[in-house]
Amino acid sequence: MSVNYRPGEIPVAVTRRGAVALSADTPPALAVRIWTEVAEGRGLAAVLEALTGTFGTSLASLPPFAVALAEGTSLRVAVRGSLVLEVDTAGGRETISGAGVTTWTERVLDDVSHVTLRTSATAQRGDDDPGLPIADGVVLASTVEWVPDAASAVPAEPAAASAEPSPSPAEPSSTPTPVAEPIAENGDAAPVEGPQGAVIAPVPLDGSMVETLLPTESTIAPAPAATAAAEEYDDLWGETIARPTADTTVREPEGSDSAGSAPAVAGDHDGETISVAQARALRTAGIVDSVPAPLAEPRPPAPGRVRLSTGQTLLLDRTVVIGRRPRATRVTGTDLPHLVAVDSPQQDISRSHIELRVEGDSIVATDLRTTNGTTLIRQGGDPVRLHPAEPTVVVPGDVIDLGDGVTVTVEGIS
Amino acid sequence: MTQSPVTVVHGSATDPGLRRRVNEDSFIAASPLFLVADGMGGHSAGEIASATVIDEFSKLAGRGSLTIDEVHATLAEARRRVEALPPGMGAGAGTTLTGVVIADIDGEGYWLTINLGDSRTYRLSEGEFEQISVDHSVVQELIDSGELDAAAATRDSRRNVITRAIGAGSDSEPDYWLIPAEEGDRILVCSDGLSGELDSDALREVLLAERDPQAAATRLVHEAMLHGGRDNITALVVDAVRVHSRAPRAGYDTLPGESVVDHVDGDTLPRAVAGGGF
Repeated sequence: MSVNYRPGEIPVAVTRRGAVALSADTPPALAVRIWTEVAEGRGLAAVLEALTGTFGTSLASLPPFAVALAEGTSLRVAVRGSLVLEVDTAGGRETISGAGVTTWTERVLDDVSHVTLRTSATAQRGDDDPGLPIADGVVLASTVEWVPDAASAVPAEPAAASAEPSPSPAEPSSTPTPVAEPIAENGDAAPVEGPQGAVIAPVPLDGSMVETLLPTESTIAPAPAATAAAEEYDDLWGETIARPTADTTVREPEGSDSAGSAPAVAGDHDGETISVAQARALRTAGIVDSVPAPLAEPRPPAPGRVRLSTGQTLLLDRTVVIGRRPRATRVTGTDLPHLVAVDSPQQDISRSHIELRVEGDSIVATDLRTTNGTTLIRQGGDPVRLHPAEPTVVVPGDVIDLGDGVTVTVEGIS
Repeated sequence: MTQSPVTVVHGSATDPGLRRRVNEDSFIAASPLFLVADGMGGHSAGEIASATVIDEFSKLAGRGSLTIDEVHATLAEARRRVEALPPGMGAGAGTTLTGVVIADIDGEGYWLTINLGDSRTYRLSEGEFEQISVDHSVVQELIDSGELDAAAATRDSRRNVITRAIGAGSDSEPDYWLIPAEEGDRILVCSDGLSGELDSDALREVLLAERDPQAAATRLVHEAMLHGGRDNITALVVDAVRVHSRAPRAGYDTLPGESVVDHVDGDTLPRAVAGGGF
């Protein structure tokens, strides 16, 4: 890759993978750090980590940057602020800047034939000035341009970052090299190719670290030892894991006498693991089983029925919520209530005003903590205001007044 | 495309983040479906699981609205497919699923919200920002039981342990919500790579600051990267620009047009104010 630059004021870190332009006031040590990490193939992630490590995570303090780095056969570009990248591709010239974007503009471009990095939209290269060559290093430049090498010259690298998280105190002494991913069936997520012949770290197989919760019926091919190593390693990063809800789904430790018998985690390098010891600790900590009790009681033999003052008749074959703009919150399974909207020109009726449901042989009405309350009118009795959120048994003939002229007449268990 | 009771504009963004090589998040942002799935299990397994679920739901894209039965049946088929993934191609993997589906309830536009796992659905409505979904996680259960407060939960070592999922040995039912859609609503659907890096206030701030939904989604993902980007990050931002209601209700005709929206969406008025008498 031949890179030429014209001198200027912007520090630009040049490596064989591409270039990173920083702001003019970047401390030299920071520029050197970014140059080093980008040369190692850590990509945009390294740039962002270095910048936020120095300037903080606030967007307001994040300085401008322009990143153009080879990623496999593609070029990943990211531009923040007034810097400009002009990229010639098979499809024509793309101009990428950070103008008008709060964070940065990011693109992945293929078939790149030429890249020009300008420190501002007005920084021009002289047509007859080839500039000065730079192979690898940090220069103060106004423009930088290069022709990317053929794709084969740049080893494929991880899409986002190396899988080598640096700041872990528990980092294994021998860092596992990323293992090539099997080709994914789904199309758009391109599998990342890792170096072949990865160095395989020794795997601690005491059964306490690498145990994975999996359904017993799973038939999973034995994983290579490197997988277990990477898995233990990635576990440090707290990947989400699912904790199966029944004990019977926990695969108990098997003989762990060799790497070959590593728990069959089949590529569980993203740390979908918790130890059995952890799992037991969770259970003994009194975590309730996550499967909620079924909400719905057995269906009553005959549903209740109510009639609205609007003329609408409602069967209480499931819970009914009546209101101005009724909503149903957090129902497990498909037993969502029947939502019935009623008019309330005076906005007297709450959005979710009253809930009606059948419990056993009774119909129960509950005022849903409404602003103006709900009145129960029973023949021969004085009107009673329902207590908020307190289920009240209603009987045929009862009239429930929601306000704004809307009433519900209980027609009973039919 | 069939007439939808909620007309939306939306933006979406996803990134592997700064630490992970593979993006195991999948999503669909195509009316009436706005869903995020966060896969679990390495060697592409999680990626395959999440993509499988989204692929199944994508068959419903282009419809005007969906019923809960349609959503539930699709989920069952998606679960069946995830559990049938062959060894080396996703077997044993699992995925979360959350988001909103546009539903039509008696002619009214609704957000049918679904959740399984610890991805999240939020709603910004009339300036009020609420988390609709409730995580299926050990930490959430500890919060619910009063053993952990929200601040401690963000540091708890068990925060990556989820209690319900599709696949991964879980056969739990999802939670559903039916929320009336209001014009101006902004829905955020995200994986925990976003909510794990930005707290609720930070999410709200970005949603209020970025008018364009695509700009908001992109900025959310970028800000999560700046805050560490430790996991895959996905953000969908969905704006309701028009919501269908039933025929104008009695009384609306007498109101000035401007105030109709305020009126229908407004809080319930105490009777003393409304003058309704009691």
